Formats: sequence, C-alpha cells, structure tokens
Amino acid sequence: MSKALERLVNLALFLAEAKEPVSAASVRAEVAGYPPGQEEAAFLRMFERDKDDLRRMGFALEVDDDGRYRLDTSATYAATVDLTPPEVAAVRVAASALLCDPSFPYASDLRLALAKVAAASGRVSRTSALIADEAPEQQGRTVSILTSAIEARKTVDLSYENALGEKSERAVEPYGLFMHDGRWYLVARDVGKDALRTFAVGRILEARPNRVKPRTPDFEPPPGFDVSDHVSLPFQIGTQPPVEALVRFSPAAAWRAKSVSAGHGSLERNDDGSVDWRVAVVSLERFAAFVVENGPGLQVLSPPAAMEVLATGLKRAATAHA
Amino acid sequence: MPELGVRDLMAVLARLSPWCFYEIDEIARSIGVDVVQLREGLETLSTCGVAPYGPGDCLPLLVQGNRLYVTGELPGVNGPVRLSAPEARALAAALQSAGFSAEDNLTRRLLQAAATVTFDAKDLERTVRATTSGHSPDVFEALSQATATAAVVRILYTRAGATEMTEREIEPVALYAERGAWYVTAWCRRADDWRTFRVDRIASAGLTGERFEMRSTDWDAVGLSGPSERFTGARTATLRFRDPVAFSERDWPGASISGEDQDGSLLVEVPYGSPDWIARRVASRFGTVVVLAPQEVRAAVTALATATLAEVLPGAGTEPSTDLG
Repeated sequence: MSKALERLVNLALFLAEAKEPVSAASVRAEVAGYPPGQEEAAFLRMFERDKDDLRRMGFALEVDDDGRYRLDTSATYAATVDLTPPEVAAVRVAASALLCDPSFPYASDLRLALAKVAAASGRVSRTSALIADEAPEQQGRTVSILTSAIEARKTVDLSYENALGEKSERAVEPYGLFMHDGRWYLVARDVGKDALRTFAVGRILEARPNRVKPRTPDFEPPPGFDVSDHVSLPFQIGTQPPVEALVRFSPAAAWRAKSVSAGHGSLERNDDGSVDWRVAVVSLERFAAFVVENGPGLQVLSPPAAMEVLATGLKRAATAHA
Repeated sequence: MPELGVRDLMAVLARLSPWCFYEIDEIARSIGVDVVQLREGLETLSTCGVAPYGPGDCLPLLVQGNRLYVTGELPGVNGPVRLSAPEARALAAALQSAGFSAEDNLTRRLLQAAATVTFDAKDLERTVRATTSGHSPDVFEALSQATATAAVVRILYTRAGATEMTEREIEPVALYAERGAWYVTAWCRRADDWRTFRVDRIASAGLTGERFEMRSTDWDAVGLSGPSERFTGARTATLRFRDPVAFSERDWPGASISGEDQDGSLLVEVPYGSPDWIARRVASRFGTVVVLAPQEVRAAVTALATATLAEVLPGAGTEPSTDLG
C-alpha cells in the first residue's frame, strides 16, 4: 500500500497547492511516485485510477476544456459545523455502535465518515448494535450489494427461498431497501411477473447484479418512488382491501402516538390532549392484537368489526385464564 | 479489524492541527483501525509532500513511539475533506437508525456542511430506510452525552404495559440497538439496582448537572456482556401454545421448549421481569397462548384482559364468556 499511498497523498497535496489548473504532463513531472521511464499509456492509466481514488475520497477534481485539472476547494473541503456536545455524542454513539454491527451494510464507509466528522479524541461510550438479529452477516453483505445495484440502477438475479421453503430464480429491478422489526427488506420489480414485490433479504440466498456495462443504467425506478410507502405495520400485510380504523391515544399515552404509529396513517391532537390515529387495516385480528400489545391507553373507535374482533379476543384470553 | 487504507490516513491527516501531538492508539481507537498499521501509515505519510521534496516540503509529521507530533503548518490541506456520497449515505443511515431523519436539525446541518454537494439525505430516505424505533432525538442526544461524560440523567419513563409515567434519576453506562429498538442500561436510583430501559418509552431526558462514579466495571454481573442478556429475567412462566407453529423464540426472547401436551400443544418456559409485560403479550394472543404458571401471571392476564376490554370498548361486557374459550 505504501507506494500507492505516497503517490496519492503527493498528488492530493500537489493539486491542493496548485495555484492554477495543471496538466497531466506536469503531474507526471512534479509528483513523486510515478515510475520514471514509464510508458505514456501506462502513466495515463495509473493517473486515471488515482483520480478515481481521490474522487472516492471526496476530492472534487475538475477538468477544463484544455484537459487541465484543478481542485474545487469549496466542493472538496467541509464547512465547519458547530455541533453541541450532546449532538457530537449522539453521532458518535450511533456510528460507533453500528460500526461493529455485521447487519449494518455501510460499516466501512461509516468508519471513514466518522474519521472525517467526529474523530476527535474523548471517551467512547459503551455501545453496540445488532439491528438485524437473524443471519446478520448475510443480511449486511446482501444489503450492501443491493445498495450498489439500486444506485447504479442495475438489474439483479436473485436466488430466493420463500416462507414455504420453495426456491426460485428471479430477475429484479431493485428500487429500495428498508429495515423493519430487525429484518432488512428489498422492494423491487420482479421482471418475470412484471409486478412490484417485497423480498425479505434474509431469504435471498444469492444476489448477482448485472455486471455488463456497469455505468449504463438498466432501468429507471417508477417516478416518485418512496420506499416508505412499502413499509407496513403487521396488520397491513395481506391481500384483502384495507379499511380505515380510528384509534384514540388517551392524554397520558398521547406522547407514544408517534412511535407506535411509526409514520403510518395520520395523527391529530384533540383539545383534551388525546391523539386520534387514522390508519389503514388489512387484518382485523392482527390489528386487535397490535392494539392490546401497545396498550394501555389505546381505544378503538371504529370500525365496529374491529371492535368486535377485539372484544371476542379479550374475552377468550380472560376465559382461558379464569 | 479492517485494513487501513489511504482514505483513513487522509481523513486523519485532515483533522490534525499544527504544533500539536496526538496519542496514536487513541486515534486508532476512535476510527476503529489497527494501531500498528496506523503507525506505519503515519510514518509513510511523513515522507509525502510536494516537489522538490526537500525537508521543508514534506508533511511535518514525526512518529515517536505512541506519539504523533505535528511539527509545523500542514500544507495544502484546508481541513476535513467532504464526505463522499457513500460516506454520507453511511452516516445518514446511521443517524436514521438512531432516530434522526433527513429533516432533523442535526442531520441537515451536519450533512450540509460535511457531505459532498451532490448528496441529498432526502433522496437517500426514498431508497433506504434504516429507521429503527421512534424515540425522540432529544432523548437520544441526552443519553449519549450522559454515557460519554458519566452524567446523571432525570428521565420520565413508562414501563411496558404501565399507565403511569415515573420520574427516575439514572446513571447511564451503555446504549444498545437491537432489532429495531435502542436500550439504555443504567443504575436506577429509584430501583437502587441496574435496569435496562427502552429508549422509545422515555418521554423526556435531561441532565441534572451531577456526575456519577461508575458503580461497576464487572459487565457480566451488570448483565451487559451482550444485549440479549437483558431478556434473562429472574422469573420463569410456563406457557402453552395451542398452535405449536405460532411459537417462535424470536418473539419470546430466552424461551425454551419444555415439552408437548397430549393434544399437540407446545409447553414453553419464558423468562420475564415484570408480570405486566408478559401478561400483555399473552393477552394479545387472544387465548391461543395460555399461562399455566405461576398464578401471579395468570391473574395478571385476566385482570389485563378485563381492564383492556373496559378501556378499549367502553360499555362492552366485561364478564369473561364461557362459550368462546
């Protein structure tokens, strides 16, 4: 690494110090590390790779019409940002917890980000994370592959095993990823079925992105695509048409409305401090269980069918323990 | 430990100040790289510079033992280089999972100042959601600050299944994320014992201004040897699952199957801390899961089902039915 490191650092310093745009020829003449007597074509390839490396590091290299290079300093260097001590602590806790989480897919980039924004010494809190608990390494690795494919808009061949244990091969256009209840999910168009599907990343046995023409996109995601539209609460999964339910959080429980609703449906505060939550429900049974599990302080006001399912269920639970 | 790369060294370089010295092992720890590799990398850095590469043209770095001395002005490096798009994505995703959305003040300010100009955290949110629990960012900030500085925090906490908020002073020692939720482990002055609190059940958290002395570093004794430890309650309940397929250890942490009933039901031992917690989970299974023992949990389920019935459906019959069981 040390030769390449020296050359890259020298190149970065040279560009940073240059008062005017510089040509490839002057880079070759001035920057230590390019082998003397190297053929022109070999030098250009090496210089090309070095420029890519610098750009990956965050150096904004511009090239003018004459093929000369300059560093856009305002786009390269971070502006100072004054974070309060609690904010710095929050960034460091979140980042250092996830750095060691095998199910967090962006750990290596996070490490570099942390080095850039918050590497100041100081006590590191005791912290850890395991955001996906089942096969965390597999989920982290697969999400990392899928993220690259989403960004480059490349199709992916999936070997997938469904909940019934049936294996299949599918070509998909990946649009988005989300984390829910400790599992990563992929939202993608199943090309063969011409339909949008949600895949549990833990069930993807293998993900093979199309490596042909890596810089040319294979598809465009649907306009306005937002992965959060595909995240469901447990009672929103199923094929029946949804009905709207109204749940009231008592004034004492109102502060939990935001976290319980998790961005689904709408919340409205009433004068007495209670909060009304209107939300789409597919499975009344699961909805009833959800209300009980997230109580106390939740009251179902409609639809009547949901109230009935809830009453029947609670009576059953009481009877079974009488 | 990951291989030290050029990017790490450039990131370190950008954060150094002239005429200062640094402990190399501290730098290594703060960015999670191997200290030996870092020392070698810094030695290599000290030979880099600009033409004609005389003594005054090289980076003014000197490595001696564990110390890195910066012996002059650093040429050409005007501070930290902006985060590349993948780095910004990683940071935004980490912040997301700690409860800070793209719209939150911290995320916005940090990424605007530090990330490459082409990065948009809102675009990221439309394709990647690493969001976990819905706690308040203010609470998370206060707890982070408190664990880093050994500061006492006053919290308003609602135990799972409880109606009343309780005010407690806690001495937080660790923050964990697991399966969609953050937890803080602390010495609770109210309970006079170690407790783990779910962060999304803390309505507010404020530093009292008091510092605390760490009561233990025996993390195994505190139950901090691994996040899952906290599920190991002192007591155990015996549950019967009418449908064996409905049981998953993931839903009942720490549970173990103890046998099978004659009718095919599954018997499971589940550790629990508070009867309210387990009673609520059992009640939400609407009779398909039944507590066989102990009696205190059976009674808690009945009480909870009856009370919930009255609360959720005012006016509905509260008498347990006999025809539905």
